[in-house]
Amino acid sequence: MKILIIGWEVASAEPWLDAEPERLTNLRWLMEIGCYGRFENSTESAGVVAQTIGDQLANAGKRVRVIGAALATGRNQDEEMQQSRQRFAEARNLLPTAEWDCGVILERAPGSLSKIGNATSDSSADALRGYAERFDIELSELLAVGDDDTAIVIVSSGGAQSNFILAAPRCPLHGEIEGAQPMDLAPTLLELGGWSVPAALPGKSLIAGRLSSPTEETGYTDEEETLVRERLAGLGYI
Amino acid sequence: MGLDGLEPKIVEPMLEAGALPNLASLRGRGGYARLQTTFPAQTPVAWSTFATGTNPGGHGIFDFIARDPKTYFPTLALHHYEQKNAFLPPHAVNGRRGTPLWELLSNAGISSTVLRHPLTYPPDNIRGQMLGGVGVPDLRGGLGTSTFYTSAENVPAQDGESVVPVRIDGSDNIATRLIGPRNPAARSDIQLNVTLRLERSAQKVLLRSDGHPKELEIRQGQWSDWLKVRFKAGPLLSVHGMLRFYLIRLAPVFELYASPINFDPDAPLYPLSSPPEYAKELAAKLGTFATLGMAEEDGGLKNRRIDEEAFLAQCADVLRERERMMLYALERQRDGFFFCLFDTPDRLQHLFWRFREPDHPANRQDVTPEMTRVIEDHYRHLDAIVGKAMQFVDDQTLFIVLSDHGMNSFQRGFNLNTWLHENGMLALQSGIEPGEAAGDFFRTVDWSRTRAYALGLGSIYLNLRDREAKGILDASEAETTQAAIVRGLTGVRDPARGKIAVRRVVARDQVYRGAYAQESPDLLVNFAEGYRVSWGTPLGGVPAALFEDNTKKWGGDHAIDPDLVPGVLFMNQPFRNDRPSMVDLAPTILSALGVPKGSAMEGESLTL
Repeated sequence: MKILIIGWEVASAEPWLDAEPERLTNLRWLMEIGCYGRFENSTESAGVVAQTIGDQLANAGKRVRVIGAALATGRNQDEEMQQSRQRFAEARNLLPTAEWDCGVILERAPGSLSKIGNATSDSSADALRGYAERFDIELSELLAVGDDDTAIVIVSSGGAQSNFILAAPRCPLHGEIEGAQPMDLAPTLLELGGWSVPAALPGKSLIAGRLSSPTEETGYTDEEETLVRERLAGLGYI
Repeated sequence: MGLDGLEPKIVEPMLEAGALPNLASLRGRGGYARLQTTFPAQTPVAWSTFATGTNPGGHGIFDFIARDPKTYFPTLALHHYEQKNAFLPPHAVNGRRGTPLWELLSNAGISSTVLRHPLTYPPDNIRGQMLGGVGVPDLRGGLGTSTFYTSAENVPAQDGESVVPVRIDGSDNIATRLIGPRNPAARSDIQLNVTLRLERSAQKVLLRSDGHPKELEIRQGQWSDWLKVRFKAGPLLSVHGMLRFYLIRLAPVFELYASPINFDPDAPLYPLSSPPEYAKELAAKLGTFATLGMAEEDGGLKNRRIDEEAFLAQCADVLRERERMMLYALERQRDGFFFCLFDTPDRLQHLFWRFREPDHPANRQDVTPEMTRVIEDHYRHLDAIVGKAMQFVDDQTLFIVLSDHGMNSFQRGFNLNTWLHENGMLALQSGIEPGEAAGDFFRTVDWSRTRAYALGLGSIYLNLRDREAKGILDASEAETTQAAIVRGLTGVRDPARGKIAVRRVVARDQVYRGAYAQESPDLLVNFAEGYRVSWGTPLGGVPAALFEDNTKKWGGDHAIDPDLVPGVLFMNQPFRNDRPSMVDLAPTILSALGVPKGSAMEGESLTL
C-alpha cells in the first residue's frame, strides 16, 4: 500500500459542501467511501499536520516524498495559481513511480484568497469557491493516475479548525469520526498498510484491531442482485 | 422528427382518410415509405442505427437487456457506470458505440440540436446542444421505480414499484416517507420524511416536506405539480430529485401514486445535457420537465395502479413539454441538424393496443368507444405537432419525419427458456421443475448441463466454453446446438390457437457484422403477429407453461419479426423508394449537409 497525504490550507470549504451538493464531487466521493472528521483541540495548520504525519512515517522507516515543502509566496494570485498547478503536475508524475511509500503534497490557496476567506463579499467568495473547485478537479486528475491500493488522507484547515478525510481499501471507518487527534493518523495509516506501529509513536490508531480482511469474490450477493433488478426496474417490456 | 413506434398500418388508412393533413402534405411534396427497421425492432437498437448508420454490430446495442457472461446475470444494455479507481466517483458510460452522425457534423464544424434521442446518456459532447433521452435513469439508477402508498394491508409490490403502507387512524395527518436513492454501502434506501394532510371534504391531500414547495397540493384524480426534494445521503452528501403525485382515492382505501424520482434539470446527479447547463436553460425558459428517459407512467397503468385517464393526462403533459422544447430549440436554430424524439406514441400504443382487439386476453369489460379511439386521436395530435415544426421548414430544409418501428398485437407470451428446457437445451438443478420454484436470474439453472439460455426480448445465447463462466460447448457442439434450435423453434405452433408463434430464428452472423458483433446474442427469435416473449423469460425465468395469455394492459408490442413492424418515413423531398432502411438515414442527413458519410456507415443517401 502507498499513502498519499494532502495538506490543504484553505478557508473552510464546509459551507459549500453543505449548501451546494453538486459541487466538489470528488471530495464528496472520498468522504462517501471513507470517513472524515474534525480534529479535536488542534490549532495547527493543515500543512503542519500533513508534514508531521510524513515525519512520523519517515521515523517508522517509510520512504517519504514531500511536494511543495517550501511553498513560495507568489507576487500575485495568478502566480500562486501557477505554482499550485505545478505542484499537482509534480504529484501526478510522482504517483505512478515506485520509489516511495508516502507522498505528502502541501497545497495552499493563494494568500490573497486565504486572507479574504472569511470575507462576506460575493466576489471574494466566488474566487475562493472557484479555487476550491479547481482543487477538486486537480484532485481527481491526481487520483486517476494512482491505483486502488492507496490510502488517501486530506487534511484541510481554515480559520481555527482543521478537518480530515481518510479513504483506504479495507478501512472499516465510515462517516463522521469524532474525537480524532492529528497524531492518531500516522499509527492508523501504518496499521492500514499492515506495517508495525513503533511503540514510541504518539497517538492511537483509529482502527485499532478493526481492520477487515480482504473479502473473496463469491459471485453476486443479494445486494448486487437487488441493484441489478433496480436498474432494470421500470422497463415496461419485462 | 422522430415519432417512436408510429405504425404504417394505422398511418396509411388515416392518410387516405385525410386525418393526418400535415403528414399527407409531406408525402405530397416528397414522399412516404415504410421504413425497414433493425434486428430486433426495439427503440434503443433502431435509433442507435439511425444515429450511426450501422447495423447493431457496429454500435453494440442489441436489446434493452444484455448479460454478463461471467455471471449470466441480465444487465441493462443502455449504459453502465465505471470508476477509474475506488477513489473517484463513478461516471456513466453510454452503451451505444460507433460514430453518431452528430459527431461527424461536429467535426465538420456543423451544429446540431439533439433532443431526447435514445442512448444519449451520458450526452455526447457535441457542437450545439443535446438533451438525453431513453436511457436517462431515475434517482434510483433504474428506468423508473414508482411508489404506491396504500392503506390496504399486504399489498405486494409489482414490477418497478415500491409499496409503502400507510395507516389511517382517526388523525388526518399521516407521517410517511419518500423512497430515494439506494445506498449500496448501507444496503438501504435513503428516505425523506413527509407528512400527508388529508382534506377529505376538498378531496385533496397536502404534502408537507422540506422540499419545494413546502406544501404541495395533490387533488384527487389529478397530477400534482413537481415536488423538488433533496435526499441527504450523509451529512455532506445530498442528491436532488423531483417527482409528481397522483391521488387515486382518499376512501374507502387511501391510494396515492408517486412517480419515479427524476433528476432535477437544475442540479442533476449526472449530466443530462451537453453543454451541462443546457438542461437548466430549458427548465428556466420553459418550466421544469420530466427528465427520465422513459418519462411516461406506463408502469403505473401496467400495474393497474392508475387508470387510463391518469396515464393519458400524464402523457399529455410529457407531449406538451416536448413540443415546447422542440419549438424553443427550433426558434434558435438557423442551420445544421435538428432532431427531436416524441416517445409518447410508443408507450401509449403499448397500453392501448388491446382496445383495438375485442378478443385480447387483457380486456375486462373495460373496452369503450373512447378507449378504442385513443391511438388515432394521438396520431392526429402528433400530426398537428408536425404541422408546427413545418413552419420552420423552408426550401433549404430537408424535413424528415420517421418512426423507428411499428406496433403490433401481443396476446400470447412464449416462454423461451421453458422451450429450451423441454428440448433438452437448458437444465435445472436436480429436483427443480419449471415454474415459480425455478426463480428468475437463472438461479436454479444447472450450467454444467445447459447448452443455451434465453433472456431479453427474444435473444438466445449459447453456453460457450471460454466465453460463459460455466460454458460447456466447443465450436462444433455450438454449431449443432444452434442448428437444432433454429430447426426446432422455427414454425413452433401455439396448440391452443393453432397458430404459428415463431416465424423464424436467425443466427447472428446472418444479420450482424462490425466491431461489436461478437457481443450480440447468438440467435434472435422472430415472433409472429400476436406473440412475444413472455413476461417470465426476459430476466432468466423458466415458467411452467410454454404459452400463456398476456393479461397485462401492456397489450401491444413490436418485439417481433422486424418484417412485421416496419416504421414510417416521410420526407419533404422526393427520395428513392426501394426498401429504405434505418441505416440510410445518417447518410441522407450527412449528404444534405454536405458531409461525407462515415466509413462504417452501411446505407446510402435516399435523396435523389
